[in-house]
Amino acid sequence: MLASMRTRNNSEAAAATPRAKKANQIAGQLSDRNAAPPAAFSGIVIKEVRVKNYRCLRSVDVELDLLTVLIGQNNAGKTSFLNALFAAIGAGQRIISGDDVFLQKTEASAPKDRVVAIDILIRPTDDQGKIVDVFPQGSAWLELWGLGVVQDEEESDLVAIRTQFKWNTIKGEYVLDRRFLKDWQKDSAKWEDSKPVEKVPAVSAQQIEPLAVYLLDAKRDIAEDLRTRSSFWNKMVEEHGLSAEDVARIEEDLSEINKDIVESSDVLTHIQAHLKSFHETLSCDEDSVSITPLARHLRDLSRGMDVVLSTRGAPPFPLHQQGMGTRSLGTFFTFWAFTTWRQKQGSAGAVHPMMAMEEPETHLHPQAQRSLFRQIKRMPGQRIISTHSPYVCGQSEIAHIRHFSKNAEETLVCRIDMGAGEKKLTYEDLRKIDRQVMNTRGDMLFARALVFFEGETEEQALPDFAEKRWGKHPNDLGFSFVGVGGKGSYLPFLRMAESFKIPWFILSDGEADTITAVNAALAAVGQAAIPNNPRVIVLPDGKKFETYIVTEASKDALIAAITERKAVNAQHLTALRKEWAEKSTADQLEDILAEMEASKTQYGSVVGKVLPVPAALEDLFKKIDSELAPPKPAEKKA
Amino acid sequence: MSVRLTPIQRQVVAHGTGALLVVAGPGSGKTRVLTERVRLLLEDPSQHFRILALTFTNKAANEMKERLNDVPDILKRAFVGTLHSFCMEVLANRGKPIGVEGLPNIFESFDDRRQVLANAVRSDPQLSAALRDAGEPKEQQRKLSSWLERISELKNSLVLPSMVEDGDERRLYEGYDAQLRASAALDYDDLLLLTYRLFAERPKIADFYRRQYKYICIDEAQDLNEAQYRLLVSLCGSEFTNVMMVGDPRQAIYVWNGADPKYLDLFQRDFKAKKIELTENFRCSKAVVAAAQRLDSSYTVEGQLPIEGAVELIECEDEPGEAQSIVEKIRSLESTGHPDIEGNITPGRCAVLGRNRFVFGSLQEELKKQGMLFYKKLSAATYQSESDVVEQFELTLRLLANPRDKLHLDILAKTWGAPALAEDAPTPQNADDPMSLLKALASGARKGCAPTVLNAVTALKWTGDDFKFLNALKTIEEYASALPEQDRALVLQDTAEWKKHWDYYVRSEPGGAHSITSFLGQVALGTTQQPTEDGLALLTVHSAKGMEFDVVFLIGMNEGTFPDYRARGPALEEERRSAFVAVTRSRRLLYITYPNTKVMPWGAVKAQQPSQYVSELFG
Repeated sequence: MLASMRTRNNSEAAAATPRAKKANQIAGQLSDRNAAPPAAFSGIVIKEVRVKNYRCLRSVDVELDLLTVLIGQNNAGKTSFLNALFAAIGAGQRIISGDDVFLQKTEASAPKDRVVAIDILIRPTDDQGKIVDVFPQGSAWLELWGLGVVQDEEESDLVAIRTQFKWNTIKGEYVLDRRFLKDWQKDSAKWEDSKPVEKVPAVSAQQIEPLAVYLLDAKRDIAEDLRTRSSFWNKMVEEHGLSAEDVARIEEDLSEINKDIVESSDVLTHIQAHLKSFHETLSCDEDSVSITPLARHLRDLSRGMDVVLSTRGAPPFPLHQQGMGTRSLGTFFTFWAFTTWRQKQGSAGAVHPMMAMEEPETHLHPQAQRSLFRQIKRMPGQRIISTHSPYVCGQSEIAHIRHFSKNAEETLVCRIDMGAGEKKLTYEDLRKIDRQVMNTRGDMLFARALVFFEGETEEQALPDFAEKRWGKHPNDLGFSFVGVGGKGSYLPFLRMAESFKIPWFILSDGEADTITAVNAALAAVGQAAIPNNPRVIVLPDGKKFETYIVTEASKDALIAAITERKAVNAQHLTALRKEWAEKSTADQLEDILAEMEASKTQYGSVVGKVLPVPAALEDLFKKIDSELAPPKPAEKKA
Repeated sequence: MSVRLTPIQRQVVAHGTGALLVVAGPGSGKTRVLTERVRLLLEDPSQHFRILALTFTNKAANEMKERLNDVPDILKRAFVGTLHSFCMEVLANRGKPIGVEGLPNIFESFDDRRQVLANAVRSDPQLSAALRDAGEPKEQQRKLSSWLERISELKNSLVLPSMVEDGDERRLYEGYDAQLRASAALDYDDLLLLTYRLFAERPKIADFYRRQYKYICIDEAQDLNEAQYRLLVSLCGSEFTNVMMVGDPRQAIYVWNGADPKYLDLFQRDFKAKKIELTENFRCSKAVVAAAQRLDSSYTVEGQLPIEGAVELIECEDEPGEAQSIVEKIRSLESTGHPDIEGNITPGRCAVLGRNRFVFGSLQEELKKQGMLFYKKLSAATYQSESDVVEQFELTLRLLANPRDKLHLDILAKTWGAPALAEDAPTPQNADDPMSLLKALASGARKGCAPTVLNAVTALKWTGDDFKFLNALKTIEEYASALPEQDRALVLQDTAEWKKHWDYYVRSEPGGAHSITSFLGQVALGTTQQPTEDGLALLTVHSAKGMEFDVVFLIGMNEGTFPDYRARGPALEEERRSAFVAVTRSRRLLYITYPNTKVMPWGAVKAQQPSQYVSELFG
């Protein structure tokens, strides 16, 4: 029996069944790293979210892209933002309680007339995800929302949905009310001026369902999902879609396999024979007792369903025995399968997969983090990621990043300042920031303070000087020292720092053309010019870093370091020392500079160790100290 | 649910894209064909579009909605309503470019509009003089009415004040509009005019509706006037042709109001529409069809119902006699039945049609005397409350909805004899808090029912988002219980009517916020009218439009009444068409009645002649 089944299976495999072909096709799509990202074919994008009075988000306005990355310290409000979005349009019910309402410092509990409101703005897009003017005729979204679609002053279509939670005295709880708005105020402060659309009923659950947000929170675990009824996994597998004939046939096969196993096992046959004695005591047929090692019905199979994974060279293990990295990743891929499955099931166009994912980097090696993020970029639909990982951040485009920070009890959100009018950042400007800043120093965004400078020598030397000064490596203090790569390259970095409100300082060479270049960059971000800018420390006397630190006072220490570096043995060392001692002071200084010039990186790392902290740097470090003075006790959070 | 259709009906139902003109005679299944077409178009849910179905009356719209309520999500997939309610939505949500912010407040009552015009005239010396020249107050009222009708005519021809040549006429029109705006209100005709302007000035908004609605169906297209036709054309733009118009030039009875069956031909030409004629009559018996043909010899019917039916003449001595004859006839039909009518003949299956509401006086008395249940729909206007307290309550509702409504503020102030709140009293601060405005008015009241009305308004517990209408009505009814019997009856009649409005409103605005503006708007547009009521129907020909009854009585068929003595030329032809419509309301039996004498309003008895139609019908 089993043999014949095996033959059947083999021949099925041999004939490339349509199903097998399909599986290969999907696998091919997923693994094709050079494939263009799948078209954002949903036809809409959620462009903006305004949250009022939800937890620490008193009034927050976040513009979203197809992929948005949220960064910020812990408790800055990122998770609250995702929860607010979920409360507004999430899959599954969310209840708002008094604890979720924004509280001023001086208040013990939220006043009952304070309304929690979450406004979302939806715009139509083409099949590449670019925003277009209007929903085309025959658009499923137009049919879904009907007269809830309104026009703005430029007569472009938009859909604005307000979800409010208001206290209802009679019910004694916060009650949800969701409406289409007639317009979207450009000025977020005037949000209450928007009135609901007339003669159209409240937004129904059915009208929200296609853009429901799915939240993959930090605790995600595919092994857990396999066992949970409400997970994506179960949502998909409980309807296996097999035809009645297939089910009958397969269950018959299962029955045969069960029989086969029992018959082939002496002990099982033995037990089964004895169990047949049931019929003597209970009223059942002699033949109606059998041992079933496998599930008898297909519907029970999903209970025991598991995913088995083997890494290269290793035997396969089920999910619950895999590491947390694999398990948290598993939810992501399952979700991807879920959204693409939904898209296939639903009529074309009226599905907008929307994923909010917390800390995709959890449990993952940096390479895995980068790789996962690349996959996230390829997912269809709209994605919001919150992250603490510089690897993830470094792979994002600066335009997609939103920085959350706390100012006393409320959250502030910043994004890259695109400028306006003539000063508006162009596509090239953004690409520059991405190439020069994000790809190399994405970790900048997580710094407490930034120090910018030109050259390689500084890059090596400054951290050492800093450690001398503070007794700790600057990394421990959250300071980032960033070489911008040349006097003309300060601008992208300044834009970043200014937009995200990260305190920054510049250590600039004193040369005239350097000062001009730096001033140009400062002007472009609206900062005062040298010497009126307290954030810019200029090396005196028109010197650059190397000429500044190589002085009569420091030459001896430097010569010692150079000779030690170059000497191959003790004798050579003595000879070199002699050679150097015989030079004139002027020659010595010149030659030291020449050496450093030739091997900047080498000597950069030495300089900080052998010399005392120069005056200009002392000045810089003092400034950093005063900028980052520890918060006064009254503002400290418990 | 399969509905049987004739081959020709199926042609109409299955017509896909492209313009279609359907000429549908009485009883040809017009409503069925329209409904089934909408149903078929919506059958395939993978096609993402909606349908716009425009009817002439709210009654017809509600009927169509009822017939379609087995289609899933019908209310989301189709807009079924009058052109006016369509315009209401357009202006409420997209009217900002032409100055309409939100749901407009409508002055639908003729009296209110005439008062608005009077206010306008008062501030213009020349117009005031012209009015005074008209003579006594009654004559002046008539003059104002005719001026008002003129303005309505202009609006219905899409003429803006700036386009009017005659200086006086232009100032009159402008003044009237200005007074309306001063009360932050619009009139009915404005709904069409402003929507037309909006589409003309903002073609992208028209384009939005074209993207929304892949198909447009229009019922009773023979009654379209210039404004309505041009509005539809501007909605369609130059490319959109999925329009189906259904009408019957023989049943055009609104020409007096600016409508014109010529738009059917214009539509056929402008849209290059295919034409299908539905010439069967599934409703009327042979006798009724024969009667209709005697009135209009060009009316032909293919496929006649094989039921004889009957048309009889009942000559009476006077109006009370006429009334008695009708009631007797109904009673006898009730008891003996009729071979051509299945089942019991109840008053609800009968209707009495008259040319105008004045022929029903004696009949109403007789019906009350005999205790026969009846309802009447004798004027186009929405229900007018008859009791003082409810009238005053209505005024306060208007003010809550529209605090800037100077007209009704004045009326209320005068009614309550409240001093110092004259027209020019500034109320900007009160505009935000109408409750305190009302309280102020009530406290200065020297007459009227101010305290009760104020209690009722307070009982509303109005929050701007919701209001407890039934609570307010209860307060009024409690007040009424202390009144003498006749007054009490009046109040209860009014509150009963308002309860019906409220009931319908609540059921048709699902899950929405209830604002007084939208409630009053619905009432103004007549959306809250129920499709059918109980008892014998007393109707004018115009209100009987689209209806059918097993037994129809045409009452008061005297020359001078029907046709109306004032009708000449084209108006006389329209009288004939009205008679045609009246006759074709009957399914089986038709009784023509007329009194030989009538008592005039001043007491004299005057001899009457039977209508010319009587001799045509009975040889």
